[in-house]
Amino acid sequence: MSLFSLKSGKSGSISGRIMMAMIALTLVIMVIIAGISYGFMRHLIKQNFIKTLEQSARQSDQKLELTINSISEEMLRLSLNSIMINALIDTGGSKGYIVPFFESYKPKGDINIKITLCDFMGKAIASNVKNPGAYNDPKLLKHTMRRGMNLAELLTDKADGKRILLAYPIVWEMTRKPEGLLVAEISLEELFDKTPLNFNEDNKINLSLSSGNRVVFSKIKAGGKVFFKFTENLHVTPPLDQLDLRMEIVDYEEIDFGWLIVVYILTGIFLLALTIWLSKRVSYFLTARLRDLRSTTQKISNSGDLETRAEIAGPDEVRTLAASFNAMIDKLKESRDLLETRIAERTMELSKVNEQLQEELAERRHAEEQIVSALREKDILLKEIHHRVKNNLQIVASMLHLQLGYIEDKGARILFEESQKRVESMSLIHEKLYRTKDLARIDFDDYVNSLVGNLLNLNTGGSERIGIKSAIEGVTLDVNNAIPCGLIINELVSNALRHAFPEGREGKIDICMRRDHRGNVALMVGDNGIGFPEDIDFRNTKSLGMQLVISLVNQLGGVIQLVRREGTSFRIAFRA
Amino acid sequence: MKKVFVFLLVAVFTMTLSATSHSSDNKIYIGLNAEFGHITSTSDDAIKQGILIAVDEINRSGGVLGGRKLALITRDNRAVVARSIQNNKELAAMHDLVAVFCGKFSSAVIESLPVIHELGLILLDPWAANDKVIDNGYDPNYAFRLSLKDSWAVPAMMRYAKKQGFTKLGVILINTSWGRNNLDVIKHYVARNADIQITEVQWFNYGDKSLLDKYNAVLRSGAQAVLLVAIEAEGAALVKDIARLPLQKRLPVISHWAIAGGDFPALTGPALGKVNLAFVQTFDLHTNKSDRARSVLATARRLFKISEFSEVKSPAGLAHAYDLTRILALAINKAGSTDRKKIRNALEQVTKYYGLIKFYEQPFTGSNHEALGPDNLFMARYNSDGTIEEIK
Repeated sequence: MSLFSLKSGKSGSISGRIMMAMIALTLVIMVIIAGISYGFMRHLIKQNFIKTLEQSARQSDQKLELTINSISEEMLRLSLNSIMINALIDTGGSKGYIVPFFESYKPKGDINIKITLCDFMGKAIASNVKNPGAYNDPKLLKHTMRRGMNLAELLTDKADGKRILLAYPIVWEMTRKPEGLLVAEISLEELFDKTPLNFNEDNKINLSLSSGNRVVFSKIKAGGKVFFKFTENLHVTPPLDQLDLRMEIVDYEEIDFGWLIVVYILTGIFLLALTIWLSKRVSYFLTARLRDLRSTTQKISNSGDLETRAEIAGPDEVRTLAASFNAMIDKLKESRDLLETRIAERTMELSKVNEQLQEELAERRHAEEQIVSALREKDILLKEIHHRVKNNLQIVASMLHLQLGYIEDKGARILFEESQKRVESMSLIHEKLYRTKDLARIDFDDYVNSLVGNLLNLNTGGSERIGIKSAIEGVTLDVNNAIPCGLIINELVSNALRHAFPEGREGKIDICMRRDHRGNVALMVGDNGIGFPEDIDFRNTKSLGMQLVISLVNQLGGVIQLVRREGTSFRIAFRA
Repeated sequence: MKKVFVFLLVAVFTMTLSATSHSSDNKIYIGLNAEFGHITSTSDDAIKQGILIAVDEINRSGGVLGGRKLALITRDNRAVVARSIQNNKELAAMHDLVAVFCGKFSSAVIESLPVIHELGLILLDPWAANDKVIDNGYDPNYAFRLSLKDSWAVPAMMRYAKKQGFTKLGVILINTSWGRNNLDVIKHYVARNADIQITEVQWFNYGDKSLLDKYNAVLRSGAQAVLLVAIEAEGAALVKDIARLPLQKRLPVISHWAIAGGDFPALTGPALGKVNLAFVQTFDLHTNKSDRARSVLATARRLFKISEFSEVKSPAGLAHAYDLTRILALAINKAGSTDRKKIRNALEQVTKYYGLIKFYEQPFTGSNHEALGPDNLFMARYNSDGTIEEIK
């Protein structure tokens, strides 16, 4: 969004952005404050419940410990009663008094305790229950009988569940050693049932075993939702410490946070409305001078009047912006005036140059016309030259042909015939040249086809026993290379037609010519005839044709190679 | 692991050696299952001394069965019944162990009787006084006693009370079968002697540190004297309780003999001199001047470094055990074997033994397993030096 598109209230404008930013900031602050306050309140409530739970656990701890200690003290006193040692010394005789003693013994409190007097091997002598069984556990006997120490232990068996065992050695002063033991056994269920543990009346608190066994108590009003769940371990006196007892709040009335949410919503609406109004006012105030600046720019942009200036007022960044804007308009006006002056000068200079160019152009056009005319004239002349050379060579050839009629010597005739063909070959070059458009290079494919056609007619008299196939891939040569190259082909093909297929043999002659990317031309003239005689060195032969070929190759600056395989083939390479 | 292995090896070797030595040393063993762990008891030591003196003399004179030596094996039952039974089982399992002596605690003996008879082990009683030790109903009876028994002691105490002019007696007894046996005998005696009246019966337990409340109850009942059935510890506690009372509240105490089973003068201290105490005894070593007594004293001096019998704390135990061991040796020779059954039978056939206490025409018979008799009892008191003196 540009500065000139400032419109109050639009979301894309500066004032709109200011408003949105203020509203967003307010919302973020509101959410953060609400979140923190909500979390803090939850924390306070949680701490309160933890405190309650800890207090309950402590009090329950104390009560359980008091109960156990009370039982322990009573059992300890009982173990010190002389009737116990008396019964151990007079086991059989004691039945008359020790059994009634136990039967009539009522422990303090309302907790049922199984009390048994045992001999040093754990055999029961008397008990307050029938068939008390033996207490001959090695650990128990070792602890109480050998060490002479009280033992508090947790018993567990499937039949009776968890029980607490308190064992006390019966020590006789006369031997100063344990002579038996008094065992008190308390059902855990009985202990918990009869011990008034501390519960919060408003909350449901369970006392349970971590092992998931049955000891569960609850005191709570029905209903409520789970809000927090806490566990507090009890650190009760041995042997209950083996139980891993814990108090647990599993359920209680949920705190009503409805009013807090209403307060949050109303406060939020009020703050949002206040923020919108304030942001609007603030953005209007903040953007007033920007709007003035925007009006000035719009005026300048619409009218192009660079004489208009923005009002410079106030102490802030807008003043600097307005001053900068005015300076920019000044510079713009100065630049515009200077540009107009320069444009006028340049226009004048360009007009002059244009006139000169028009004159030069006319002169050049005239010169070109003269050149074209001269070139056309040169081509005509060149063609005429080639035509006349060709005609002259044809005359020479005709003269040789006429003279041939007067020569009877076969060798001389052959020489004349070969000279005739050589002249015709050169003539064909010039014919091809004056028939070409550029008069400089000759299409060798066309030339070779014409040449070998003539040679074939002259040597075979139109017989088809010898076929000539040429493959010349778009090779063009200038006249300096074309004449020797044409003569080479003439000599080699003539030589092949004359010697390679004697006695009416059929065969074929291949002519291949191609040019690589570096300008090297490769020429191959080969036949599948009887082959070049092995005893003849083609470089040192008396044959005029081969001498001529070697000479012409040297003239081209090339190299020649004879390949004797499945006939004869000459491979020539030169640069053109 | 290596240490455990070595330990086990040594233990097995030692046990094997021990078993081999017991079986191969050709000795004949006598057991003594008594209250050695009882702190105040001296009767167990006196019994042990009596046995060892007799064994020494017998071995020195060639042993038994043509040269086999006698040896003593002791076991401490600490006066506890369960330990006494366990000890007797262990002793009965020993090869060539012919008989077991017991201590003074009748309960420990009576509770062992079923095991004794089940295992066929000869029980020799040099002290425990409960009538039921011998009158146990077993046939054959493996229990033999050379001591007094309650049904003799109580009449002796009663006669002494009457002699002193006491017709109203309060009774304080130990709360055991021995105490109840004594009460039965007392009741039986009173039923036959209308001139004696029991005004109060009080019970106490082993371990009671004071019997003052019992004594006060007796005192309140109008008793002229106290009949006490106790051993040394609780007897001493009563004497000290009484000694702390004013002179007019100090009743005479007529006690069973078991208070002499310990060093009673040491336990009571000065209190003993403040209480009129008389107790039953069977034998007075100090007055015995027989050849046997001199021989025994000589052996005792050699074995135990004592100079006079007065240094023996429970002399009756020594004398009873000595004579009983001698009679046992005679029975072994008579049986010609270590077979317990044969020896038991031989015990009933031993005759004419000149003992330390008396001459035994036939200590035991098939119908009588009591080597002493009521006539062997007398009342005694402690002198100021702690020695026992017969009350004439």
